[in-house]
Amino acid sequence: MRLWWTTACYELIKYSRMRSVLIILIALPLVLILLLGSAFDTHIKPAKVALHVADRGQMRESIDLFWKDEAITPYIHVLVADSEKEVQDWVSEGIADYGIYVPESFSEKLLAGEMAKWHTFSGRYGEKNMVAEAVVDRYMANVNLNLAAVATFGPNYKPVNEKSGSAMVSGESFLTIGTLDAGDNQVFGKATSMQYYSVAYLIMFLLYGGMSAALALLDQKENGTLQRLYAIPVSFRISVFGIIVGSVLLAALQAIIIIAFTASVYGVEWGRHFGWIMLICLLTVAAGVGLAITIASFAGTSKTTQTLFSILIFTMTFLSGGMIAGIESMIGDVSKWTINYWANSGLRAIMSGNDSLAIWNNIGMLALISIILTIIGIIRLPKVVKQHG
Amino acid sequence: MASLHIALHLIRRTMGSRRGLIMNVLLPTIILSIMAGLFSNMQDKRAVILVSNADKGDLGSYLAASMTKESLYDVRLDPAFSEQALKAAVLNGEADAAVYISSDFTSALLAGEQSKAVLYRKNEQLWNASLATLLMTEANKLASTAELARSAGNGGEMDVRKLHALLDAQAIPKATAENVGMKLGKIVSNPMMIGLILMFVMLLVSQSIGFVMEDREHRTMARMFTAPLRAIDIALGNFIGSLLVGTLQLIIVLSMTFFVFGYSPGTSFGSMLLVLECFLFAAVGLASAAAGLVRNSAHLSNLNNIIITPSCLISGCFFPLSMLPDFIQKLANFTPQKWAIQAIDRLGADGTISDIKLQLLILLLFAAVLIAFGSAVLKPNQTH
Amino acid sequence: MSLVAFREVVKKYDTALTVNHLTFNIEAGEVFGLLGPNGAGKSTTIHMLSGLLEPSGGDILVDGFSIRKQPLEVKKRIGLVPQELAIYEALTARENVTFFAKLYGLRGQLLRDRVDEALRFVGLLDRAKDKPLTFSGGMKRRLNIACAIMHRPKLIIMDEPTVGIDPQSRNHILESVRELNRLGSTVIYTSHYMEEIEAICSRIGILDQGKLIACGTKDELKRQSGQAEKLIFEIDRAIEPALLEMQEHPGVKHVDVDKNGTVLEITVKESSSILQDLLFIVQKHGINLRKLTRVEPNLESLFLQMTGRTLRDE
Repeated sequence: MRLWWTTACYELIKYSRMRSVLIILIALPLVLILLLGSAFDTHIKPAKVALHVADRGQMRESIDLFWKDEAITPYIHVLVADSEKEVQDWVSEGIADYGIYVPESFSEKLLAGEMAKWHTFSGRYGEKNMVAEAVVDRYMANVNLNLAAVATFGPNYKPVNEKSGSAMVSGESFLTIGTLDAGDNQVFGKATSMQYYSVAYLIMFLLYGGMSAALALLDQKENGTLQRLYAIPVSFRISVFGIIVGSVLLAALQAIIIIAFTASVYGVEWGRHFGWIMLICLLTVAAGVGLAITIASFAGTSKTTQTLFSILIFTMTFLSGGMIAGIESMIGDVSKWTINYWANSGLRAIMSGNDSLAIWNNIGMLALISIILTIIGIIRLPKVVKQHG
Repeated sequence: MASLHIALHLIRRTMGSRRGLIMNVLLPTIILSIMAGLFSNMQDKRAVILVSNADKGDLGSYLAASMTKESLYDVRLDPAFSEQALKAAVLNGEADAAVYISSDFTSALLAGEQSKAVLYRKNEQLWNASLATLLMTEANKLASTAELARSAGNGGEMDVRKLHALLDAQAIPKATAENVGMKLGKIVSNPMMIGLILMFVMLLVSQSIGFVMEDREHRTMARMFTAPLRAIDIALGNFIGSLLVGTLQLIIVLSMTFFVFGYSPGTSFGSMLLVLECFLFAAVGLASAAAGLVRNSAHLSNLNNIIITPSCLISGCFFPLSMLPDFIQKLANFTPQKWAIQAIDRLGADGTISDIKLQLLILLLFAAVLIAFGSAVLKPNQTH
Repeated sequence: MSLVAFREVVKKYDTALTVNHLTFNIEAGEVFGLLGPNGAGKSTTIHMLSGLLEPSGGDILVDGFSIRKQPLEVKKRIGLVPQELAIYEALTARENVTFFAKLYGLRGQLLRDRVDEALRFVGLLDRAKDKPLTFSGGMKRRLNIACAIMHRPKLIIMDEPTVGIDPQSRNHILESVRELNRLGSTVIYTSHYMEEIEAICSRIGILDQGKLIACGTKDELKRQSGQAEKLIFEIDRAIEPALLEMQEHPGVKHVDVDKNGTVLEITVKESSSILQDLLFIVQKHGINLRKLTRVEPNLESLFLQMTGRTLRDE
């Protein structure tokens, strides 16, 4: 009993001296979560529109008023440019997402009954072009309605909206918008992007942590300290068990730090079932350890094990949507063949916090995978630790 | 001449073995090809908008038609859907948004009463906000037109002829927005492929610098130095070797993705290679500077994990830079990847080499500064 | 002209003098042994000679070329067998030798011939296609040597080439040193194994704390040390007159007798051949000689005497 605990503690001491390993296991996931979480934030980022109005005619006032309208500010952020050239430059350099130039002759032509045009410059992003175009259309619809009214009724028609002198009815909308589920998102499901990536990278790096057990065993075999353990007059199995427990403890520490940090600094809501979260983490680590030992038993050296296991984890994380969210819709059920999928779904179900059936479904599948991998790991373990296995 | 042997030797060690060939050439090519396949599928995905027009009059069809102008919407007209069915379709993901135009839409507008078309969406996003704006504009236009026609009639009577005259007048609008075609690259907004290539280049270069580190650790570099060559010959050999390794990988991976899998970033193979070659200089600098910070090659591979992935993320290798917070966007200026992506983007917009002089210069500047830091790693040291 | 000439060579690290005004020559055709405890400055001296380190002062001339001014000319004439196994584990034996041979500018058929020659010399020609990963420690050491001799250097420097290998491989290596010397190469051999140095070196330099404290042939060194050889007689009984007679012999320094009086330790004055005289005395007194041992002064005791330390206390 004491021996495995001693071994485990010394393993932890050894890990604490490997600064770069700790950075990779703990700091790297935190950085990735922050970057991806804020990049794919679902808050609407307004389109930056570079605007230059050269027109000094009668329409100038309505144009200025239009761009200051509160109805468009959530979607449009106007950047005032000094010339058409500058508008173009800003769009091509990516300073602005969309460009609009109102030529000097706009008012003049319009009043003369000629065709009058704004010049617009589409930027790189379809979505942002779309919203800018929709807003420009709104202005044009208004102008065209007035022109149509003048053409049909003559210049003396009575504007519907007397305040702005426009024919357009204002103040009420003829469209009802039904937003069906405010928290739900096509890509991230019920989670926020921060929650989504916190889960994905916690699981990915826990699996990585599981690899440290196999690497510790292989390294100790390579440098001979494992043989020394053979010589100690207690069961060899117990010291090997201690080494594995050491890496599981490391992974537990990793999980606690990542969860505590994301919860307190990034404000990630992890739900209320802390015990269930720990259970999922432990099962994930067990699966990782089992898988890593199995791979190590075939690979033989720590370098090859590292390469193969890294590739496997990367692939599983990718397939379960950890790098490109929503990839499941493209690849279908393939993602269900990964450990990450079940662990991720379980954690996300805990986060959304209501459906305990879904949680236990996921935990059940994860447990099944973990048990199978652990058993295979135990069977293959002698190949890893025995010198002539 | 001796430098060349050292360079060739480095190539053999990185790519000469079966393992090296698989990891450094085959694997990147396969991953890039899969990515190219995945993304060509993804680009076809447009927002699906289910429209059910139950309107008995004809104004509803004006509203429905307004959406079809936007090419990014996949508008599907299907009058069979009830309002509830539309809602359900949006909720279960069959459609990204749905529009229901009720049967009394026209009659209510003509009578000056409130009848609203309904837009259903899951949550507010930029694309559906623009859809909403578009529909609102059209609906308000129709309502205003109806209001005009009614006010022109006598005592609130609807003059249908006037209504159609108004609608016809608006059908050929006098005031329009003319989109001036801008030649913009597609790489900044969709950088995944180029970003992955850049990442693979960095990984491979760091690996060959790792071999140089091993040379130092195992004293084989000291042994080279006992041959009749100068320290600079060895440094040059290692530098050229790292460059050649990267170049070879680039040429193989690029030709595979270009010519075999038909990926086309809108730039010629040659100019693309030029930009990536400049990037390669910077990557060699970065890797050797990183190597100068650590004691052995095992530490180096750890350090590279820490540097490469995050720097690729913040420099817009995997998703557009504009999605990141402003301070990170500024930080991205200090990564070579950002400038390489910008250069390739400009080339894609029919830019010539002279348009990307600045970007190439910055990349080479990166290289010069970093290599100055890292040159100690490439040559044998005089103390021990 | 000497093949190698050290001229007041100094190497400073910070303020410590690792090599302190070293001046000596090595002649062509010699096997020169450089002996000294760890940290004596052997490796530093070797590294300066092979261009890996720059001397802080003084100069080294090889074949008349200065290591400071014409390092490339010097390096062409040198083959260094480093202390570490400086070989590529992932490359085959032949690829290893070929790579380094190319750095010396060998090309084409000449390159192939010389690589074969070097591999044959160290007995690895039949394993040329194997990677050192599969080699024993001794085979790796031999490959380490092959990588230093394929350009037929005038001067071969072997820096502790036998560290940590089995006796058989060590003998093989010592034999190759002799063979290389026979083929015309001058060899500098460093070691802290006294026996090796004594066995193969024609001249020996002893380094301590960066200084050459002794230099010469084995006999010269022994003479220099003032130490003499001893003859140990084991006899059945001691007879006083015989002892007296021995002590009075002009070639004998003194005679020690153990407490049983059956072992005589006779210290001999320098290189006088008195064995015959002593045997005569023993016979004359009717003493039965059971065993006779001759003890020559060795470098170990020489070093101990000169520095007050043993060679291997690290």
